[in-house]
Amino acid sequence: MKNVMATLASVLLLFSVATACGNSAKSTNTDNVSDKGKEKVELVWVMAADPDKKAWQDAMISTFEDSHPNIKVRLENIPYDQFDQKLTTLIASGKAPDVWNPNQADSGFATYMKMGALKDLTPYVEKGAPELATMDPNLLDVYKINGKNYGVPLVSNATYLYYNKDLFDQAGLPYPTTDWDDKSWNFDTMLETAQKLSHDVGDARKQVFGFSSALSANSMTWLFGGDLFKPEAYTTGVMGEPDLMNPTNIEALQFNVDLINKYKVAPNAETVAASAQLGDPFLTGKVAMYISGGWGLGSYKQADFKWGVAAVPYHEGRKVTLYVDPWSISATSKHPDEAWEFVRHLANPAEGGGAYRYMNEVGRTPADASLFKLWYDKMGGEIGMDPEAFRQVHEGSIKYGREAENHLIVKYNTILDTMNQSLWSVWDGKKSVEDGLNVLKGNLLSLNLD
Amino acid sequence: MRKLSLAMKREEQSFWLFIAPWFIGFVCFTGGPILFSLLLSFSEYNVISSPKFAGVSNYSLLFGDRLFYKSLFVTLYYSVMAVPFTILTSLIVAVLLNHRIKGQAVLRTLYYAPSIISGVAVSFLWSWLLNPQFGVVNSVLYDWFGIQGPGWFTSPGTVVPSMVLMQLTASGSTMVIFLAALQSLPADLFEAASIEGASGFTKFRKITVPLISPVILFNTIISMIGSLQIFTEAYVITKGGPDWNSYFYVYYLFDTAFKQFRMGYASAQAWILFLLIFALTLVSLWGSKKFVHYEYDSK
Repeated sequence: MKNVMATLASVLLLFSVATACGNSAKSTNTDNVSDKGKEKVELVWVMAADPDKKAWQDAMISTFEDSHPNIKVRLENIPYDQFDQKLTTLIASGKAPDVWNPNQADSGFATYMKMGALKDLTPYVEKGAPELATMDPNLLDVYKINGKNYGVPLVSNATYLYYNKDLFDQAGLPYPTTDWDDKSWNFDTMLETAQKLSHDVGDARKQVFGFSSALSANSMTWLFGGDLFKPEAYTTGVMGEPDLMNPTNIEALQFNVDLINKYKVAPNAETVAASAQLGDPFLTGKVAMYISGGWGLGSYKQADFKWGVAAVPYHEGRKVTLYVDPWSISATSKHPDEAWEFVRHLANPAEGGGAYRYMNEVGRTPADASLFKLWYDKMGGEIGMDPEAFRQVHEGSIKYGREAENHLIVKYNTILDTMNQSLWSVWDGKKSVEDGLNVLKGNLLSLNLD
Repeated sequence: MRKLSLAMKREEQSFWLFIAPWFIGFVCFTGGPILFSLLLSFSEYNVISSPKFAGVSNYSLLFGDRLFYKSLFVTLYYSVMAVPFTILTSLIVAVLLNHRIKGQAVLRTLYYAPSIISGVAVSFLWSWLLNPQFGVVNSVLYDWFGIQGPGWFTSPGTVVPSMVLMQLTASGSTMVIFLAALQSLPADLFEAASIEGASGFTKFRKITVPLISPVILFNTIISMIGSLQIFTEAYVITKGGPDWNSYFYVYYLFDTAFKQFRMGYASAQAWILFLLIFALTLVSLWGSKKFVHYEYDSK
């Protein structure tokens, strides 16, 4: 009997060792807190990896550390498609980064807001920050929930129609207009233009497509004045019962199906999937017109052809997507004051400040109004457009824009995946738009998102 | 109770000491989590707040979930094709590599080599080889034979067969086990058969196959278990698409666990898969009695 007891005791001992291995991480964390004030404070800053931003990131850290010798910033770049997964895991395990942009990937602000992962920044904003003085109050309000600020806008990307000037020149066609209110530039004229630009579709080596887009099915319906979700979805953050069968939605999706299968001016789903492996389809130089977000202004700089931006074709009720990205601080941040200092540094629109250099070096659309003029001149020069014309395109996009759905609806990444998968056979021409939407509805409702 | 001698006591203590690293690892990282996931499957747990008991609601939701059936169907479809394909190709390769020819050792190494490369890297490689626009395979098909190649991973009809084809580079260990079995076959039976005038194929069918049938059973069960858990290929290449056609069961489980953060639901999915694999393994063991020949019957 004694021996049995001895064996049990040793097993118990092993168990206690086993449980001990889970606790070690916690104790080191508390050590960090008690050291606060004496030692250097370390802030963790997380972004989605993007080589375009590397130089800017390094500059931000070194200039901040120079002016704040007590604070050290550790940057973590996470690959885009792992961003939401990694962030949620970090938040769950109590290791959330101090400063980050919740809209960096597909999940978005609403999801993290609902998790309670974001800190209320109102006290800081009210205390006053000269960096935010020239920010458009409407933009600051985008991330104001129940009167509280949860994010400081850094970027406000719009949606444009990018076009390949070389392909237009070859076809001897005039460039599309920069005037969003020009009703003669509508989807019918866009289709006619696309037909003149397309050739050899089906031959993988020579084909040129008149039109393609990076739009989700929902954004396509927005362009026609439709919407796959009810208005409440965007205000409450809960998808609820989708509103798929409205005739405008069907018209919008049918138009995009026809571009692929009837008029053969847009690549089919297989071609898009195959070329996605190479990167952005517009950069292949085989797409003449491409509707996409404002990040293209930066990333298309590397294109080996000339390009421009124009208005998205006119349609009654047309809405395009705006992507306002904020800097947020984690609710659990152990150094919120220092993190706020860093956010101010990142949002600083003065020459050499974070927002200024982000506009200037990364080429993204600034959120701060004091930078607009500089930015129009700079982009106009880079694209080879009259800065006035560029301003017109951008302001039109803002005028007809609305905030991106993934920033507003909880778990939008899952909704988007479900949408893309379920509508595949619609783009393929194997299912009618109505049938596809019916399947999508069933799939969305069986997700149990709440 | 029998008294243990001092030596035996010491031996017992050493036993626990030596097994401790494995034991601790098992309790911490395998056994504990497995039991915990069973508990979780009866709860609602979103990682951020603590789990709430939810009874069998996860299981009842699961049986009304369209994607559950879709992913199960896709996975079984893959399994039904992949298992025979893996067994046949690796057996053929093993038989060929069993021939005494020059460079045998080099060839064996070459055929086994892909198995030690990470699945992610192999998946990337295949996705580039089979890219319908820029891939080598379709270029060769077009340039040499004038054939317009299929869409492979980008077309709903060919995505699962393409993934079955990928098993060519993943069946190294199956092949090695076959090779070991082939080498242990007694030469005298083959000699006797040759004297009787049996052809090569007859010898293979009447002598080799019955003698290695326990190994075929083993490999079949192992590759069946593996095929029901297919994940990497879908995660790296297709993200479950197109049109859900590679939305495999474990990929769906990963989605619910690490994209939607519904750990309770994902745990329920995992336990259903466990029961399914367990049942299928029992069925194959029981069903194989007629076909599998054991040289040394213990009865």
